[in-house]
Amino acid sequence: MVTIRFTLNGKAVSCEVSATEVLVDTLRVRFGLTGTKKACGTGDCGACTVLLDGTAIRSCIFLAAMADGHSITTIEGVGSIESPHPVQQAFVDAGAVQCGYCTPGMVLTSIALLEKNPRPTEAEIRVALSGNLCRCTGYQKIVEAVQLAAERMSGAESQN
Amino acid sequence: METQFFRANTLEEALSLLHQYQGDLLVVNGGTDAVLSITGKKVSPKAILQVSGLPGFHDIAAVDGCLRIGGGVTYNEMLASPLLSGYHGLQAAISHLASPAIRALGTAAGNICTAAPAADAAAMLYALEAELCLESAGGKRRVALRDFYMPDRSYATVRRPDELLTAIEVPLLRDGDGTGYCRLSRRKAQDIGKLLVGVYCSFHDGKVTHAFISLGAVNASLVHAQTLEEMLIGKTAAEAVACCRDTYPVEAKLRESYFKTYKQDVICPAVSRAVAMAAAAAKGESSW
Repeated sequence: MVTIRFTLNGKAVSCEVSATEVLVDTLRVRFGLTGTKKACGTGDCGACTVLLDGTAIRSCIFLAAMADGHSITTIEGVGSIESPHPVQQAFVDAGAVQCGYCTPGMVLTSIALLEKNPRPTEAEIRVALSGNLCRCTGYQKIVEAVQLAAERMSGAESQN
Repeated sequence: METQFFRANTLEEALSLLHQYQGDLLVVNGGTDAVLSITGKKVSPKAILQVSGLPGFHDIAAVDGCLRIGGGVTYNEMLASPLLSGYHGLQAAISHLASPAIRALGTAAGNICTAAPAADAAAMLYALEAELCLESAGGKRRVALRDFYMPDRSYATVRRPDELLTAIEVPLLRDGDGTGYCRLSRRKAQDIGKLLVGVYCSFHDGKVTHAFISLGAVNASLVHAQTLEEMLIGKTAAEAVACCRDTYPVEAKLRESYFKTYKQDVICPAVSRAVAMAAAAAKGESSW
């Protein structure tokens, strides 16, 4: 077993993992953070997306041991029912959630995009989300939600 | 036996572990390919060695007339590097590879060592006549990428079990040099290319003086379209593009597959597109 210490949703944590354990299993089984979905298990669908030091990665093809010393953010770490993240609120307002399975990955990928590029073009949004699959095929409203979040977040910044 | 996990902090430490385990160790860089081999139960190594944190492993620098890309440089780092911005073919190959989340961690070094027949970055680096720096506890050696793959075998290279790919070197582009890339796939992202073409051309007084063409996803390993290259020497850009459109690359001995007929039909247009892109880049025109 390997002892890893990392920051999880803003809190310092440590745990023992096996060398071959993937991060999605650590998050779901050891920490009970089931908002991160395990679907394809091959890095193709994006449902297991988490943020590694702010960058969207696939936790199903990332060894938990490699998270040592880093910061991991899951969907549970970006907002709550009472106080959703602006991207989460935009997904609700734009009707971008259908079955909801892909939504955590879509939201985290969008947050990472807007952090680096606060006013992305539609093409840039589509490229950023190109590795996140929506089985309900609700892509148009997802793109609109990211545009809405970008407008609101940029507006909030300019008012501050 | 339980698999051990090592995070190397120095190259010496990494090479010592490679020597100690002699092939029973899986090197993990970004992990986007290597971890799949673990979760898919294709390998069960005694040890896993993470090398992405090695000092200098993420550096890209011009050294001794070539561009040296560290063994841990990710695709996103390559896309962001001003030193690589003129390599249009390489930028095109990387920007269409997998998805942004894979490009955040995946590396060209890993792509080369996996030795898949449809590896985008490796196909373009092959055309760029890349040289690989391999290091072991016993010393260093350089191997041309075109000699790195075992002929007619997928996923097989001449890398010894105790060796680490520490850097990839490509020529610095000079005036008149251009690179081009063409990838045909069913989807724009998250798809393995059905046909890959990498081209590196040099022009002098408007004529081709040097050409290197690589083909990916046509056979078990990457293919060097040498006969077609020789035909391009002395031609203008327009003549070279036309020549590629009309000439089937004889080295592309397509293996049997569901897509064989499709590949036969599109290989000439794909090569001509990549040559046109390289020619435009050589003139300083941005074409991607």
